[in-house]
Amino acid sequence: MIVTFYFFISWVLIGLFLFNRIHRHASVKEVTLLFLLCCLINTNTYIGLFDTFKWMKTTTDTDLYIATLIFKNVFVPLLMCCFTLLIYRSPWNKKIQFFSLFSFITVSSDLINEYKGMYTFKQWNIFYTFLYFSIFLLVLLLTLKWYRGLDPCSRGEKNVVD
Amino acid sequence: MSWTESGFGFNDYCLLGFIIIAWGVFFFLPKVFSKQFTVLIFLYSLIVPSIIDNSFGIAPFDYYDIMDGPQYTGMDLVLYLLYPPYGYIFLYFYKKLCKSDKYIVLFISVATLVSFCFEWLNHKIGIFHYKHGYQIIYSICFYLITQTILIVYYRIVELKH
Repeated sequence: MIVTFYFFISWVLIGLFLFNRIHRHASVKEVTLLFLLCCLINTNTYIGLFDTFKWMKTTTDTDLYIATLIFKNVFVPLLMCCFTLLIYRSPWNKKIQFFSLFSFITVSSDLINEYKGMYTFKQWNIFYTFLYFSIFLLVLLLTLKWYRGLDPCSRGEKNVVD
Repeated sequence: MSWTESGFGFNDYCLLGFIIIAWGVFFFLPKVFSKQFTVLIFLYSLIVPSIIDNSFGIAPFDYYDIMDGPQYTGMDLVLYLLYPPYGYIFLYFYKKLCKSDKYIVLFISVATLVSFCFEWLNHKIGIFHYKHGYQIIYSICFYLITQTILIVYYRIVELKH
């Protein structure tokens, strides 16, 4: 059930990217950068939480583990990419609205994951999740700004690949 | 998190040697890609092994250990420094050698063979330890898929501009 849930939500996000042009103010390179960076940071963070520091305990059930893999490697990066691009290009009042929505989704998904048994908290709580994803989002916004400065002639807005 | 599980050994020195050689080759190669695309090659080369290691190398699959044992140590992270220059070198030679599409399959096959041999060498010197029925031959599937994706992505993005 939870595997299908995350698979479906990920599919919806991919659909939004491809057909609803969330990425219309970014180039393919920029979207790829955000997605890869999200995968890198998120995968290693969860490994640190599960294995190194043991602040969370992950499931040993294969079904739930696959759901965890989809969550941390596909769903979270896609969600982060969407909101980074939405927040980056919006005026301040919209930025706050998007950030509130983003916080609601990340905290809710964390609660669902714990409720379904994908992982359990040891020395971790929902507030840390909120902090982690907020800092993560800030890092992505700064990275996008830096990346656009690397090659000034190919700024996202002028480099639309729809 | 410690640097090693059982002290600095032969495998650690070999790994550092490989990293120095790989980055040395990267610095001496002409820079044929844009800065933005080079960053993407590096990120791709970091993220693919990272996802594979963190999915298949830990419980419940736990098919292999990196460096001295199952613990996540500093040298496990240092290993990831080996992949970005390899990704760059791979695409550099693709750009230089594959002038025609008919050579792509041959190029990826040869690159996979080279990667496989290098992984076998790493296995022999104790950087990778396979367990729970995993055999090194399975890695060929990962190389074929990841290298093909990198070339397809390069053709989509870089050649478009």
